[in-house]
Amino acid sequence: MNLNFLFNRRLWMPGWGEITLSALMIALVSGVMLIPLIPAGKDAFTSLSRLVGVPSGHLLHSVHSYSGDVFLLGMAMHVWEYLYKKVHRSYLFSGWLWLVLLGMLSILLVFSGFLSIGSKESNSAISIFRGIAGQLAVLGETLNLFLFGAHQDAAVYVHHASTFTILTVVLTYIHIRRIKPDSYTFFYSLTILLVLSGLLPVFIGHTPDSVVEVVKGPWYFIGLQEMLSWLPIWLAGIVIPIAFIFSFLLIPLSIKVEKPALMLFSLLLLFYLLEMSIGLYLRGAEWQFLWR
Amino acid sequence: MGVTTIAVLSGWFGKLLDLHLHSTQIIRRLPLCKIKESLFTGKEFFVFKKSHAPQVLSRRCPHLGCTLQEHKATGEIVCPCHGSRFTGEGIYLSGPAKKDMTRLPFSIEKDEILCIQLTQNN
Repeated sequence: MNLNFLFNRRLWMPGWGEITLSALMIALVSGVMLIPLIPAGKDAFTSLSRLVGVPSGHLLHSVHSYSGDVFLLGMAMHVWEYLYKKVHRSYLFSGWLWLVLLGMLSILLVFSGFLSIGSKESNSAISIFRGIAGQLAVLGETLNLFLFGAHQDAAVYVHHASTFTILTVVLTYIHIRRIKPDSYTFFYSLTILLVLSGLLPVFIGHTPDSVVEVVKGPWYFIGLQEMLSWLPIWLAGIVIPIAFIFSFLLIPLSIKVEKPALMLFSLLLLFYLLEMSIGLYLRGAEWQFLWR
Repeated sequence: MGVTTIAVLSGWFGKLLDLHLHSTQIIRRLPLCKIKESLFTGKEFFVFKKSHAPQVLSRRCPHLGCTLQEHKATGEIVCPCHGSRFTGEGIYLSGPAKKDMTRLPFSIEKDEILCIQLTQNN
């Protein structure tokens, strides 16, 4: 099946790599503007609620949030394009390792932004993550300490605003030897994000103490949430994600390994997309199916 | 560089040890007279009376720690993250939790104050 129509550059559809880079830069600039407006720690949600009460504040936050989503989507399409065109064959394994690390950091960067909001949804997500990491004994405790600090205060915000941002920018530079996106794609992406943010301002989540029918995380997290509702924690939270990363890592190792690694990666991805669809569209109050 | 790496790892180990040895215990005080309804919902715990004696349950779901909520219509306690259900007394009914809600230790001061012991993770 010819999928080039998804990847051909056109005036109205620039390259996915450039879109990803543009989204990263827009997120960076909007993020820097948000830092003085949203303090780290327990007051984050209160300040954010006040910020989105003002139209320009809501626009700024929405642009930042949507640019994170576009960054992840653009990266996924970019990876798909380069796997489809078999560009991975020209990579040395060491170079590929840096790419896998960049991919993981990118997901952590966007996810930590969600976690630092302090809403009911993000607090629940932190609990879930801590619970999964808790399966890994000392390693999990170290991970929790690093990501969330001793008292779940400002640590995740600091990681979002500095640690993961800096590392992602540095690894992006190592990847393409620049961080300035193409001007046409940058302004194209910025316009799309501004229009989207103006028409559909982002919902910041429920207050931490509110009683809600169901807690749903961001779209890229819901697949994991759905898996955790019916699979054991060690399988859904640890084995499957590690298998996903591992299969992706093995793709350029050798021609013999490429096909089975790609098949496993594709299967796991399709499974995750299915779980994501179930969680998004078929789960209602108390995470029960809509027809119950 | 090797020495720096070992030093950083040692520092993390020290922090972990500190965390284990000095796990913070928090005491929440609640006047017994406030427990009028069948299930009292606090920020971190539920309190109900069984044979006139109070029982305290952690609001953290035993599955992955989400904050449990009372389902007013049925009196059940439910998890909004993955759908685990418990009776009003914390007994497991269904869902991925697979175990009862955690009971929290407590004491009664002067016959009128309920002192509930929470650890750092409750």
